[in-house]
Amino acid sequence: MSITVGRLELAQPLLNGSGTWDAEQAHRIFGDANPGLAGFVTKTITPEPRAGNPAPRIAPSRQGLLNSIGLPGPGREAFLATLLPRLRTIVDGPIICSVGGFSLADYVDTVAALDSDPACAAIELNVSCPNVESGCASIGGDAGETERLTHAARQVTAKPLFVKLSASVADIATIAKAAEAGGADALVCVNTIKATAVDRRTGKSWFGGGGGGLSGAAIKPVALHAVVACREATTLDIIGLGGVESADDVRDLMAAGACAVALGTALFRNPALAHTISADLAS
Amino acid sequence: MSGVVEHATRLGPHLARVVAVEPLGGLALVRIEPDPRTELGAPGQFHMLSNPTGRDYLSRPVGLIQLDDGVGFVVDQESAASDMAGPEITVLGPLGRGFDLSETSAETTLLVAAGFGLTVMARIGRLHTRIRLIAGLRQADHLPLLEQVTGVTIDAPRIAPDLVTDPLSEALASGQYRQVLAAGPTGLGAAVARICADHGVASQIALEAPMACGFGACNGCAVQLDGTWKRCCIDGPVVDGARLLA
Ligand SMILES: Cc1cc2nc3c(=O)[nH]c(=O)nc-3n(C[C@H](O)[C@H](O)[C@H](O)COP(=O)(O)OP(=O)(O)OC[C@H]3O[C@@H](n4cnc5c(N)ncnc54)[C@H](O)[C@@H]3O)c2cc1C
Ligand SMILES: Cc1cc2nc3c(=O)[nH]c(=O)nc-3n(C[C@H](O)[C@H](O)[C@H](O)COP(=O)(O)O)c2cc1C
Ligand code: FES
Repeated sequence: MSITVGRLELAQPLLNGSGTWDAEQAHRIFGDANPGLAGFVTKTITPEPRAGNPAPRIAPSRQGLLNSIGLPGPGREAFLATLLPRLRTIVDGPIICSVGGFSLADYVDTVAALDSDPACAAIELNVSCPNVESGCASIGGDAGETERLTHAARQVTAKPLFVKLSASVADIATIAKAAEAGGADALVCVNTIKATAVDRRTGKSWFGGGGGGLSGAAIKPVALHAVVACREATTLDIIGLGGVESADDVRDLMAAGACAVALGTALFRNPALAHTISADLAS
Repeated sequence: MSGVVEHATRLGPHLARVVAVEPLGGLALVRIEPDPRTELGAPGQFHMLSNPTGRDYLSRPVGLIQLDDGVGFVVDQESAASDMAGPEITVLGPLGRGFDLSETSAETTLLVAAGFGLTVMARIGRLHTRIRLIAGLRQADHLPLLEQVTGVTIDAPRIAPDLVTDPLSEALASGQYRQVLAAGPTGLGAAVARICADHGVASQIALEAPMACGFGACNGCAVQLDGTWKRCCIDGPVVDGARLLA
């Protein structure tokens, strides 16, 4: 059952969420870079290499996972020179590159570089980053910033352009409309929800890098709400994610308006989950 | 170069039947039914275990051990009775890099382990007998854990706040040992690596870190290696001690 989402063709509707699957490691360890997934969404690429946050970075929560990872990665240059060519040889299906940054120029430079690389099939803007230049704490929390960023990215790429939304905003429909006005082809709902764990002795964040986000089963109702709100507010295709663990979760997100669905935290327990869900969907 | 032990790992986790849960002082020994799918891998490699009911939500890294009549693992009693309780357990692995045992001999190798790190030494003791082990325990009621660590020669165990690093320094001063294999909680690794480096002795250290996936996907298991943050589950858990000092 081949589908099209935001002008990108997929052999079937299951993908991974950015930052929840490492195709290179999966290929090395399991002999399959993206088992049961229609393609691969990369970890968010930042302009410069990043070591990520100090430990601890994860903590369990009831029916969920709290994380404060801090976008570790090789940076744009090494991604384009080494990782992306390598991914193209091992991934079955399209590679969707997730892009992050700390200013408009950060995003635009990466999108422009990806536009000329045939290994990249589509671009996903992770807008849950601060804009250090304008002082905006989260681009995706501000409709004006979201439209400006999407528009600027649209100017430098003809490839399918997705905008990944945060649900930690006052009104997700307004942000979705801004992404549509900026020229996005599809929306991805949702990123982790702002959340944290505290160190009982100090009252400060338990995480080495502070902050934090919640993912997993606990946020599935939030994802459903976001998908419905985006469907009602825009005409864009939607990739739904947040707490998906079963074929029924996929059916729920599709009923809400998603045309493709991504698996995240649930892959940590079961790296073969996409195979299981596909089989259940087919039966 | 330590522990470059690579096994192709089965993608799908499988269900293992729990045969018995036995008290081991303040800990619990969980016996699981032998199954060709439950491959132990190399000592130092680990498995991600989870409860098929989903009660625990995240799986946890655990070192499986060889028992005389099967396979098992050791956890705290509370986990055995709650998060991990039930007739079956989901097993994914073996994962990570294990110890490189090619240079191991009772004459020149010294083992140091504390807490759950002792279960790794149980694996090594089955492959190389009579190696000296300096053992540390968090509390006295964990002493029965040592009953499972056979094949090695155990010094009088150190119980917290006594440190394993004191007898380690003394042992290395003798000049007899050429390498140290160590496993234990955060903090122990760097301390052991430092003492080994000061004595010009090679070390391989099995690190511990909280993990959500065990196969490089989540970036949650950050440990300080080579002067930066690396993933414990794929760069380790067994690493060359020198990498902790960079
Ligand atoms: C290679 C390897 C092998 C291991 N082998 C074994 C083994 O054989 N047996 C075994 O039992 N364990 C083993 N462990 C450790 C094991 O994975 C677990 O860490 C251990 O079982 C404790 O689990 P728990 O859920 O009871 O942890 P807890 O100590 O209850 O902690 C659970 C989590 O909560 C986090 N946390 C603590 N305090 C807070 C707070 N205030 N706010 C938010 N989060 C907090 C911790 O970081 C941790 O991630 C191994 C680990 C590794 C890496
Ligand atoms: C450990 C971890 C790392 C993540 N890293 C990223 C990232 O780099 N970029 C991004 O856009 N989303 C990232 N996410 C968010 C996920 O892609 C996904 O949107 C979110 O986890 C909700 O889905 P889930 O509940 O199925 O995990 C991350 C999530 C987790 C748990
Ligand atoms: S435990 Fe997930 S990356 Fe290491």
